[in-house]
Amino acid sequence: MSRRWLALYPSAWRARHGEAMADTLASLAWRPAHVLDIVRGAGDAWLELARRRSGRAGGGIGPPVAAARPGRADRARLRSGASACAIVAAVLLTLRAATTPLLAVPTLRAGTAVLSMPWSASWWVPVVARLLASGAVTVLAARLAWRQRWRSAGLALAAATLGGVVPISWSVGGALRLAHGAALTAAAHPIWVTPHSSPWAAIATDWPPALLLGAASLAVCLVAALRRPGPTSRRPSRGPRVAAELGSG
Amino acid sequence: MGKTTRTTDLSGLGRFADSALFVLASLAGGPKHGYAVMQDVRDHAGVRLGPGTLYGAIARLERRGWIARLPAVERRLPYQLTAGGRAVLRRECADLRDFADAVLGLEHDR
Repeated sequence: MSRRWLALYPSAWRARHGEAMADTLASLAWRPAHVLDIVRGAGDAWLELARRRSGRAGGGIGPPVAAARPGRADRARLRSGASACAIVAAVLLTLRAATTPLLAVPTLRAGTAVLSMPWSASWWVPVVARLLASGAVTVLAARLAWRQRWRSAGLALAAATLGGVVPISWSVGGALRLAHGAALTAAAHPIWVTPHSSPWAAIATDWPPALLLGAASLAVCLVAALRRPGPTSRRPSRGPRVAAELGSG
Repeated sequence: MGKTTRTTDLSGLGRFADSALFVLASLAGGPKHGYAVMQDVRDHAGVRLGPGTLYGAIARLERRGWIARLPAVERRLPYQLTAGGRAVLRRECADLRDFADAVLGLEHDR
């Protein structure tokens, strides 16, 4: 198996166990069960990191909490991953928008001929776009919720995420269809008639996956907000702790 | 009464408790690297440890000081049982024996 699977683990974990695990992976044949096990193990490693970061490592055994903080590389990876998701989602949503009935008006179609490639109308384009967009929002919102000082702010952010993900999931298609519906009402142009002549019918077909993604996002944000240590368990600043460690040595 | 958890047994390892016991048992026979532990557990216990589970257990055991890594041999990192790990393994085996005795006693009484 490829050692690239190790990229799923936190950098601190890889620094400690990466070489040994890479050696073991090199001896293993690729199997779906192994992949699932690695993904699950990586999830455990991240959760363990979060637990230790919040000062709730089991039994006080192990290295100091400060040593378990995610490094800059992890934070940068998280940010770049979310940004990449957002960019890809934006591109896919743009491609999807180029194939919506509203833009299928001959004059507009000529202007978007480059974007209106046949593959962009495939069923998986909006699905992947929604997943990526919602994933990016969820990751960024969870990270913000984690960094908030007060849990209530995390809860508020989670609620805002629920409100933010749903529009994202049908923003392009839904908004254009809404505009399309309004235009139908105003002009009743025969060229623009589509199966989604009612904008609310379009939303009704789009909201279940959006709601599911929003609920998942809310759950992630809630976990992030609640896992963060409260004001009473805040760690002392690094200066006194280092001084105490030096003093005890 | 809340459930008490000893910090010197495997119950604090959550889902890794069983696999950690397999790793400790495998290392009781001598130092081994990760892949050798996988094969050993599969051959002797019939359990296939996945790589994620194996190294999740190894990381936790190492952090608790129950196993220690040795210098690399041909780019492979072997692990060995420490005195603390041996004590934990002995205690876990004793608990399993008590459990088996209790169950077999129930069977015998019927």
